[in-house]
Amino acid sequence: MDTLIASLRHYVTPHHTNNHRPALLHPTALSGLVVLLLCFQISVRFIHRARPDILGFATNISIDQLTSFTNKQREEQSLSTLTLSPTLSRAAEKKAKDMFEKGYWAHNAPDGATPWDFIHGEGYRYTYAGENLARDFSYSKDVVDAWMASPSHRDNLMRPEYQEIGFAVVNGTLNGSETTLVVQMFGTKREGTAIVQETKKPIIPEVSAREVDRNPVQLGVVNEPAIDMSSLQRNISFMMLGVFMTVLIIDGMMIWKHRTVRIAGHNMAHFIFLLMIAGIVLVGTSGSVL
Amino acid sequence: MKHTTLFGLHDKDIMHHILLAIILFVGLLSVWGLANKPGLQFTVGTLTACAYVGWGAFHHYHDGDLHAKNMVEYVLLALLGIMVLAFIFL
Repeated sequence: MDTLIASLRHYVTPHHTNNHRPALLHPTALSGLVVLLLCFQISVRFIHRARPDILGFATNISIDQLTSFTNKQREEQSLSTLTLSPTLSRAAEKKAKDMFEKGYWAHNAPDGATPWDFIHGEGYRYTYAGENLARDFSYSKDVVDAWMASPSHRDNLMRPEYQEIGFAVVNGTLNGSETTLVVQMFGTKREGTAIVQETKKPIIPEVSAREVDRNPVQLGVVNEPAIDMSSLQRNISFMMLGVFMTVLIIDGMMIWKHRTVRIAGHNMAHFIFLLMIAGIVLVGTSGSVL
Repeated sequence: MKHTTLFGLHDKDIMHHILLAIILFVGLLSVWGLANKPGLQFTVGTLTACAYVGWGAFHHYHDGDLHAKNMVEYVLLALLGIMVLAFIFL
């Protein structure tokens, strides 16, 4: 027990055994950690490529859950629930595949194709149509929660005019990154000569409605590896940054209290820097909506 | 006479730290703005880490305590940060 306390004091607090600077902040420990982290990353990537079933990106997003969570949000606002349309789901799936094939993440494709082109392409005539996109989420609820947290996506999701909804959940590699794309398409079928209204650029639909299930729609993406790569990346990063930030605080407080004079970098500067890195980890490991 | 105001930091130190906070915040905002472009996010994060080392040299030079020992600490912490960014973005 005494050895453990002595080690902790040596590595975490300024003491005469470590020249009044926690050993964790010494160049030897820092460079050792950099090398260790490099080896760890190489191993993780190797295992991920060789055995994605052991170390991979966990995803459990289903169209049923997405529809259910979306309708739950609408019901809470006393809005009508939306019916799942296989036609809109097919249009959404084609949009998702188009994004992977052409390497873009946007409502409009680089070749000018709009979401409405995909809806028209499936023969869906509408008076109202809309599209929400999401990527890099692991669970259905997180996707709907992220849309609800964004005012413009929330407005789209809560439009009372919509009657039908379609989803696509597709895994793939987009611009070099493994990702899961979720495309949500809304629509209200056209009856007679109603005015066409879209949430983005309005165009006149030219294709008549054909509600025929030509191809079965993918029901979602479920990938459950033994270890989730996203959680591993996030947890290891936060744990390491947390340890260093704590040591910097302890060291700063003790040095300030004992008015120790020494040659070292500024703890406050290091702390702000690590805080920024933690912010980037948070930004980099969160899903995004469009 | 220097005024000690916050954890032993002097007025000039505080100004320097505010400058650092601004540099790092701009870096963070840029990474956020480049969402879904992991290669660019990593590049901007790395440049921000380099700016942090540059700030360390500038600050310690002005303080009159620019030593190799100090700079090694900044470089190693920057490398540690870059390793974390590589883990996330590459």
